[in-house]
Amino acid sequence: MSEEKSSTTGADKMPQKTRRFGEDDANIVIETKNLSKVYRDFWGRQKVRALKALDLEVQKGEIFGLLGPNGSGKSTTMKLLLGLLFPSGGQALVLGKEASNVEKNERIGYLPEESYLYKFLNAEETLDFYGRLFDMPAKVRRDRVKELIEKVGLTWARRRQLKEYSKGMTRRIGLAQALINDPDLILLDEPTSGLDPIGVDEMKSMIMELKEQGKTVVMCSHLLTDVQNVCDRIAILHQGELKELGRVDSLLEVSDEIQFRASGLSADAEKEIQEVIERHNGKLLESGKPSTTLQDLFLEIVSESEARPGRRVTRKD
Amino acid sequence: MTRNESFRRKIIYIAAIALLLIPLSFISQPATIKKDGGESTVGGMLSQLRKQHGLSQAEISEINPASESMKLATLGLRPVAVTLLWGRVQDARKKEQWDRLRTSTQTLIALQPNFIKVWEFQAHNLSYNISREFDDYQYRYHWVKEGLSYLMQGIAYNRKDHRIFDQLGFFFGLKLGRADEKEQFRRLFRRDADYHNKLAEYGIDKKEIRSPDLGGPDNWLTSYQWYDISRRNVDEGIMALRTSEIMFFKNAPSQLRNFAIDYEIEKRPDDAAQVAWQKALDEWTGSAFGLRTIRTSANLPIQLERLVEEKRKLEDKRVELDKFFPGLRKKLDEERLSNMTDQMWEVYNTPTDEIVDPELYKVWNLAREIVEADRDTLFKAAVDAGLADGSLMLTEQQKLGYERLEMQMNGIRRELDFTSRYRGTVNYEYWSERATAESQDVTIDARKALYDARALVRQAKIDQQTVTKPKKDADDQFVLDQNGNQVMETVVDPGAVQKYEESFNLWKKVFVDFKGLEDDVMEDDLVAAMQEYYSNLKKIQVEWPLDFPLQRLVDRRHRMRMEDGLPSTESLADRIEAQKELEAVQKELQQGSDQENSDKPGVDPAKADPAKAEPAKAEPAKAEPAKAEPAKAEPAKAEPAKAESKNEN
Amino acid sequence: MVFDDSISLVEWLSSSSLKFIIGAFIVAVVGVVFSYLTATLQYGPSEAFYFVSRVIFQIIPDFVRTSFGRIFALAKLAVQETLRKKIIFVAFAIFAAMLLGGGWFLNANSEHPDQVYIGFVFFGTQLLMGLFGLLIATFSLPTDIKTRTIYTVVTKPVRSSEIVLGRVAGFGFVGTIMLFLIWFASYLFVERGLNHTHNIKDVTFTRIETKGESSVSGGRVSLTTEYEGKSGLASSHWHLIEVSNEGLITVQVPPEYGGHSHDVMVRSSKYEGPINDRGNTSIRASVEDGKLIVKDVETDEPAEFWIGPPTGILMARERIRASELTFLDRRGNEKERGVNVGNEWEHRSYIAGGSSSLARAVFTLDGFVASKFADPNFVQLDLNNMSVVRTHKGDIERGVSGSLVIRGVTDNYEYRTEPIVFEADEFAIKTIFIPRIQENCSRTDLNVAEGEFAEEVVGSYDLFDEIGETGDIQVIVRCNESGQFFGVAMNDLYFLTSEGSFAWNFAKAYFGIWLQMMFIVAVSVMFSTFLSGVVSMVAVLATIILGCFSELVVDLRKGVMEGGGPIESFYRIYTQMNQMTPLDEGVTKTVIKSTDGAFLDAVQYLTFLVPDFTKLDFSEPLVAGFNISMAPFLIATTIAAVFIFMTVVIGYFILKTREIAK
Repeated sequence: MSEEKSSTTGADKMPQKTRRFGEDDANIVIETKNLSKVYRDFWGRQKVRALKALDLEVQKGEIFGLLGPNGSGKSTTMKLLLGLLFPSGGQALVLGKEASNVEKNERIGYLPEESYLYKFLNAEETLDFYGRLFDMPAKVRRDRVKELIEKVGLTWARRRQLKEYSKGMTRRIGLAQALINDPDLILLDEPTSGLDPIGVDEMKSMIMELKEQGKTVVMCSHLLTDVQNVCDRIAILHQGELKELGRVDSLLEVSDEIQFRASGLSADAEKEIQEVIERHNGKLLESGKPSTTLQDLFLEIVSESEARPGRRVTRKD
Repeated sequence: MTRNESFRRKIIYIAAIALLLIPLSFISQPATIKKDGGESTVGGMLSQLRKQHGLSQAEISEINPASESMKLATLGLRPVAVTLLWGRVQDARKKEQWDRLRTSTQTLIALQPNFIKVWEFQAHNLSYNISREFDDYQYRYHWVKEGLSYLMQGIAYNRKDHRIFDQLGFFFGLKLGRADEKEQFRRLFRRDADYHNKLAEYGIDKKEIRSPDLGGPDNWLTSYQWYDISRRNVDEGIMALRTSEIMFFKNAPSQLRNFAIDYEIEKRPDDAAQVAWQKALDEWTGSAFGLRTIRTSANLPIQLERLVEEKRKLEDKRVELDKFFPGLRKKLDEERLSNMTDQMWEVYNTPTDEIVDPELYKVWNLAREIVEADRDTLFKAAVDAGLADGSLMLTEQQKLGYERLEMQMNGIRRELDFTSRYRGTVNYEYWSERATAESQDVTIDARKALYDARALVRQAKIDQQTVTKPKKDADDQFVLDQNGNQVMETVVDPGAVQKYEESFNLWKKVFVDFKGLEDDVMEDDLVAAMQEYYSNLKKIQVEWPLDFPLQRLVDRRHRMRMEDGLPSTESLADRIEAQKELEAVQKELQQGSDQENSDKPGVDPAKADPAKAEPAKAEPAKAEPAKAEPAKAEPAKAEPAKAESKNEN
Repeated sequence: MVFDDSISLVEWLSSSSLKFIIGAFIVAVVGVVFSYLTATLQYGPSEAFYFVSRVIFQIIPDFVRTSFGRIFALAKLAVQETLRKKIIFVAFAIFAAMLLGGGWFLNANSEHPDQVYIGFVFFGTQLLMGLFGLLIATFSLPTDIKTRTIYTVVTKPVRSSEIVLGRVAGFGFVGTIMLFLIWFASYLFVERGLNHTHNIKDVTFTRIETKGESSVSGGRVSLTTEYEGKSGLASSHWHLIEVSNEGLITVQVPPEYGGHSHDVMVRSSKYEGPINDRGNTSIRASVEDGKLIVKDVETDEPAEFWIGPPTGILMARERIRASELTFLDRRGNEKERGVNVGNEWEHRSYIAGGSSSLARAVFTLDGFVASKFADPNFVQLDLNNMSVVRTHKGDIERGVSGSLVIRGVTDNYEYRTEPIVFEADEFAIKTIFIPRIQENCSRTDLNVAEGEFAEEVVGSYDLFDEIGETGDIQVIVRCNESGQFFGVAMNDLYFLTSEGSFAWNFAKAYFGIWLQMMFIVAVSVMFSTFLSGVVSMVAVLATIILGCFSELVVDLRKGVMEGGGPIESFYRIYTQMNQMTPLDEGVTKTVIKSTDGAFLDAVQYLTFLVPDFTKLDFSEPLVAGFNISMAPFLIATTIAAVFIFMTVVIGYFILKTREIAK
């Protein structure tokens, strides 16, 4: 599938209000100004220019996607925002505060790539531990833990140590720990990587749920399909530079193409439509039976088998 | 395909290794031992070789897991660890931390079990240096034992080395027997039952070392036992001898001698002492030492006791040699002796200690050279000269006989030379004579008298008393007269002075029989006794007897400037004059009877019975004894140093 | 005993706190400059300045908002980590193995088996706790950072001070449990190892033939002993039991397995306790045809008797120590030190004996008050390990005789008691009981008119109220036998006031180890914030070594101890010169000396950064059986507390300025 290069001039749909950097604005959650990061070795010799002068803004309540191939600087950006790395240049403000300021962590949640959690703790202990880190009173903490474990569907495994968890299960407990303090801003690093399709689907639905609760979600990933139907706005990074920024739907819109899907049409109806397009000197690019995506098929089969366990006769065509 | 090729090469290597393993296993197969310890299989070549040369660790020392693990634990840095430990021992000693010191010495032997010098040095350190640090003799004794048990531990680790036993013998003997605190040490050792059991574990026969009269085991006898074990091991070839034979075999016998000496100091000399000296004599001159063939440094077998025999053999050979040239030796003798003047003869005959004026001494030397010239070399020179200028003729066959005889004589002469030199090294002559003398009844009686004298001094019975007391018959029962009451008798109980004189008379007999003993170590014993006698004489205002039996001894010491406060003949000169005049007067009175007076060489004054002789003139004793040795309660102190060097060089 | 516990807390604080503040200031300055330099390397000068200033300004808010909840959470995590990773069990297994293995090497037949046991156990625990602290604390943070599990923690509102404090608290807690278990096990090991008793019932007693000499052991007995007997065997030794003519029984200290003796306990309707106790007025022992008969002399009622547990070991003696020791030489003029009899170790100096010699050792003791004594009527004075040097054999049978006089100076009188004669007992503790009422003690009037005779009255005076009225007294020791010498040191003479409990003393000593362990944990966490596991372990080892040998370094630098620095040593080894031969003059010598000097100076300053471990080590008073008084205890706690706080602050700084996700 050749990547179609769309023009860079996609105008940003939101009204551009001129505002000085750092000015207090309730609905700006994350703001960076020519944020750059250069990795140097011990002697200060420059090794890698991970990020070059990134200017970014993330609005409150939106799902913002950071896309780009591996090594494009999206993880570096994420770490800079979290204060795990110190910027070589420029500034990054999260919830109005300096990225490296610890207080900001009160209201953020972070799901790391491989959800680095302590293998020797069980689920409950993990969540209880992170709860304590927020100085939550014991009772609140206990309820929160129970609720989150149910939410991520791990009640059956809450007593088992994390080292016995499958990849999907660790992802889910990872997300639970990210949400322990009911954060306003949640940063997800490759949330769907390594998950089976059901997992991906659940993750997406959970992210959408967060959006409904008015939380802001920033996620970075290189699995475009997952990002596509979740994110509101996306930024595409390549070799440390911001290549594209804008709303998903507007960006994906192939400007001069329209797509129809219809059913219950006979062959001659089809022919008739083709003639209409030519008359208006449009160009029919593609027509035929749309095939469902493998993912949809997979989901359909799995949900059906859950509804009616037992052997299912495969469709022999 | 490179992959297959490298794979193939791997297979080849593995196969080669497997092949090599087979012969290797045969060579290094260990010897297996049956349950009861017998050898079931001899094992591969290596283990046989190991057995043959006694190289395996199990051969030379007991395997101590602690020491093996420690050697491993130092990961090859054993020398460093050892150096640190030696430093720690020294530091602990400086800081008087005795426990730390002991643990360090223990760890040292865990790291260096088979290095004999470590055992010897540290044992000596514990028994001598550390024990000296303590003031209380009981702790000193404890630390001497600490050193000894340290050495005993070493036995198991050095099965091939006799020097550990020698050291033990040395320590038990000299440290317990000759230290300042020897009296206390010997007493403590005698009653230390636990330690005797421990000794028994190491092969010391508890009955053997007990001396019933001294009431318990004696350190000298224990020392003898250790040396005996060492001697037996060497004789049976279990252990290779690492020191010179003469010095090694002399150890054991000398301990018996020391036992006898110390016995006579602590106890009243009786037949047990005589038996002790007898045993010492037998051991010294018998097959244990005297008659044992000892290889000299030139690997020549000699026997110390055989000196006289060797001389006689040499004399026989000389007679045979003379047969070749009859009369030649006599002629040479006459020639030589002809230039001896009468004066030279006279000077030659006077005992050397009486020659004082250096001129006379030169003459004496000259005479000696002539008289004691080596007749063999002169004879040989004469024969060679004779053969050369044809005055003496020897047939071919006689020449052969002559040369053979000559060679044999040289052999005997070399042996004689070695034997006498070795006898000198160990003082063989002196100790044989001393032991023989000491085991005589007369010496035992002399010492008994001396012991009784000192006992009487302790009871302050200086002079003799006439006392009447019930008569006793031979077996100590009271003699009753017919009507049943005891028969009284007046008898003269000898006082200390009498006992001293009795002892000195006996000593005189001993010196007559044993010329060699006179001017030697015994002297110091006797001098002390004579000083006591002299101070007691003064207590009862009795003059020094003019016919004192050992006057010769006193005069000799006086001549050699050894001031011991005893009156020499010179100092008694005027009293002797008075005595002579008195006798001359008596002689004139009894004109007729020609008193037979066996005249002794001028020196010995006429006998005078001290009891009744009341010299007319009171003459002051010339040299007031410098330090009147107060009659000390306990017997003379340990054998003076001079004796020390003699018997234990 | 060399441990000097005379300085009080205040004295120590005044002298060393100044040195410490300077040290802290230097470290702070160096820290800032160093971090500024590294920051400039990373982000260029301006950015670096901004970066460093930001960090500095954040210190106060960070420390203010440190929440104990978070510290507790992190501590709990650390505890779970150690328990779940079974490190604690491995450490305990090592200790148990060492304890059992120890028995292998421990030969019990030393003079002071208790000291050997305690010394071994104490050293073992110190080693193990140091190792333990090292093992758990150094690997935890680096693994966290390497496996990135730290990300989830750092992205929480957790300050790096909390992370460091949390870990130190967590590992400290685990260490404390561990130390408690080890303390309990080792106390049992020591207690059971030494506790034993002997059989006295079927001992046959024999009459002494020659006065003062035992016929059983051949050794020495007291002159008043009439009968003697050999006690039953227990843990490979026996004691000689002496029955005196007044019917008292004393058990001798055997030179073999020494260091302790026993009390003979008696029980009758009227009295129960040691027979020799002053309280026992009527129960006396006698020997009839070899058998010991113990009965109440007044009522003729037979009393039970048995041998009690060992005395003289496992003690924690409370004492009044000498605060000053001066000497009088042979002609009586005052001297700082006595005579040196040629010992290399000048801990003790000597006084010459003999009637004509005026040589004395004058101990000045303060705080001599009756209330301190358990039984003020009979005051116990101990001569501990006084050394004796004989220049001639003298009477080997008896110890060298000496005497001591107690002198008290009040406003208007000078008291001198009658000389108390004793027989010196080297390398053992000589106990002398001094009655409170001192008969024929001389009192001279001090305020006397010019030219008048000071009137001297000899009478009986009270030790505390009259002689020791001011609380200060002097004990003047002399050696009576000419040609013999007594060697004394400050710690050798003291009044035993009461018998502290050994278990409590044992616990106090272990508290010293706890402080060391906490410091090691703090240092390990601090190093692990920026070094990898193994490297930080090496760094911690270096710190411990520097701590233990700081005295050595100082001595080396001050020249108290011969031997030069590393280059000189290398030069000497290379040219095979021993230590005594001086380096030949010239350039090489100056070069070597200067470089070594600089190196040693650097190391010497380093020692300021590390607490002097010997101050935290109470093993010597514990082993010597002295109660660890409050002063050294508090000093050690302050040292450890201050250094731990410093290390946590440094840890906080490093963690804060370091990029977690590097």
